[in-house]
Amino acid sequence: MTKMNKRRSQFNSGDIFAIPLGDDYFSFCVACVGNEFIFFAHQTLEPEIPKSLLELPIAFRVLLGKGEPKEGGWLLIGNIELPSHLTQKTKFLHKPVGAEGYFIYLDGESNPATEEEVRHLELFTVWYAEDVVERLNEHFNGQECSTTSAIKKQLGIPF
Amino acid sequence: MYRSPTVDQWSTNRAATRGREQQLVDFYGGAKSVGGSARNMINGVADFNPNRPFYMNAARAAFGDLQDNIPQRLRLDWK
Repeated sequence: MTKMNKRRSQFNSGDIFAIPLGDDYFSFCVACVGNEFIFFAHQTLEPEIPKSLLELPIAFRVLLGKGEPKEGGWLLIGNIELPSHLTQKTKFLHKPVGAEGYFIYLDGESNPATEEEVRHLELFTVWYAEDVVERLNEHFNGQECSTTSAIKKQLGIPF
Repeated sequence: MYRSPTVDQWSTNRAATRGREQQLVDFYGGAKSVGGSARNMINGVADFNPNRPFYMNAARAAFGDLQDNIPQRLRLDWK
């Protein structure tokens, strides 16, 4: 029998993490479903749960590697009950290497889609903590996400 | 530096995923060890691995063909 080394999840649905951004600032995220996280377009000087957390604007919702909160030194600061729309899996843009067309990935299945249908979707990428922090800092500086741009360039996604 | 990984294809067939790894190495120009231009130092499946045709055909069956951009050389395969 083959021995599989599976990395165990270090978070549960509703877990709230404070993310050190550098320069004493923190941003926040919540584990939704599986390893989908929402990251808020909000930064503070204190790693405390912001008031009305779930009403804050969302910067992005992506898949996060299972060990990444620990890897990134993110602080588990609480847990919150999530509304149903945050506990449902979302769609991601899937484009295999060398493929001409686009696909929509949802909950284990990938189906062909048009450019219009995938244009607004996040890439089917599993994010490292350091790339998330870079993306948040770019977001707060009004810059385009360099990680997303690099991946899209490599996969030949023009938008 | 490596960016966050993006999902290419997936399968529970280990032969197919192993073949896919080699398809990707070949797509990006071949392993450096055989004079290629991919970032991989070595091939996932060696040129004369006796199981190479099995892995590559499993990948083709599961995921389809992928353009081969390696420097031309002799390898075990059947298409």
